[in-house]
Amino acid sequence: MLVQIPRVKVYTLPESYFSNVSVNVLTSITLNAYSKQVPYAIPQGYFLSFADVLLQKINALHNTAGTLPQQYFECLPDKILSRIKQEQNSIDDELNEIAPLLNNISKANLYTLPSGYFESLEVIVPRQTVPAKMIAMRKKFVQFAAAAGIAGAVVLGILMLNSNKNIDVPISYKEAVKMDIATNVSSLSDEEINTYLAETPVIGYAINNGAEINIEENIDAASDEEIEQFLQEQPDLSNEI
Amino acid sequence: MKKIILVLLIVCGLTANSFAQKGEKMQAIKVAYITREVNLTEDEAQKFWPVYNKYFEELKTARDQNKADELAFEEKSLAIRKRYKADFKKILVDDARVNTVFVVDRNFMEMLKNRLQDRKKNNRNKSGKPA
Repeated sequence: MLVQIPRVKVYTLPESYFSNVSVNVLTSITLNAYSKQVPYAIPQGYFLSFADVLLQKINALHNTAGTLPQQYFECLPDKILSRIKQEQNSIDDELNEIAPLLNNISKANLYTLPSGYFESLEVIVPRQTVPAKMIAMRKKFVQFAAAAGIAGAVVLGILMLNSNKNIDVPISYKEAVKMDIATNVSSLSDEEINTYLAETPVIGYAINNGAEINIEENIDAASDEEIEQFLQEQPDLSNEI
Repeated sequence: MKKIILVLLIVCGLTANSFAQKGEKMQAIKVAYITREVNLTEDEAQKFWPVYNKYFEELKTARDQNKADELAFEEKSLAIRKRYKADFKKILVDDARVNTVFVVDRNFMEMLKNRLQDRKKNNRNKSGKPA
């Protein structure tokens, strides 16, 4: 039966139908959209009365939110207090649970005074002292303390300076090498020299008995030759140099 | 008040100073003299002075113990000097220098004596007496 159907195109299309179809659809949509009537309408004088209408509405809202029950503030403290009192019991219970010892401590005042204590209280004010004298004493003490302190420092300083030297020798090696012996000897007193001569334990030097001076004066009277000759003749070992 | 403080300071300073310098001037001169006569080096000086001081102390003790007996003192002195000769030799090495140690004290005293005599002469000359 299929074979019998004649092979002829049954459906036809106008020429270049598909190439123009999108443009055609769009134009038909656009045209239909523009109806000749304005879709939105405003009541007459809408914008002229708009501000008044808006204010009226705001006022209406505000009035309902701002109203308070009559005498709200007059009875507010009572309300709060009664609320607290309601919950008081539960707070006590809680305290008892957490710290029963603290809760049991009595809140009575522990310190008492004999009756009429302050009435009979007498303050003894010390008699006025003479302030000028006290200052003077203090000043003196401070000055003495300062002087003693400075003096102590001076003594300590000098002793420390001296303790730096060798214990065996009163001067350092460098001082010894540099010293001008002649000048230093001439700065010694006769007494110092005599004491040293008398105390030094060297053979042949007798302890100074004071008689020497008279003898020396006699010797000075002798000529140098006489003395030299005498000394050369002496066999005393201590005079050998 | 300031005067008191000043006086206190001066007194303290002088006391400390004299305390430190008591009898040291002569000792200082002697140390300088011996250092030069024996020709000590710094190292030698460090070893020398403790030994010398001990030696000198022993001589002094010998002298004090024999003030009335010169011969006994000389005997003791000789013994001490002989004993210390070895110690000085260790430090100074050279025999001649060791010998100088044993005469240096006498030389020093001689020098002092001469100086004293010079002073006396000068005094006499100044006072117009013929020399």
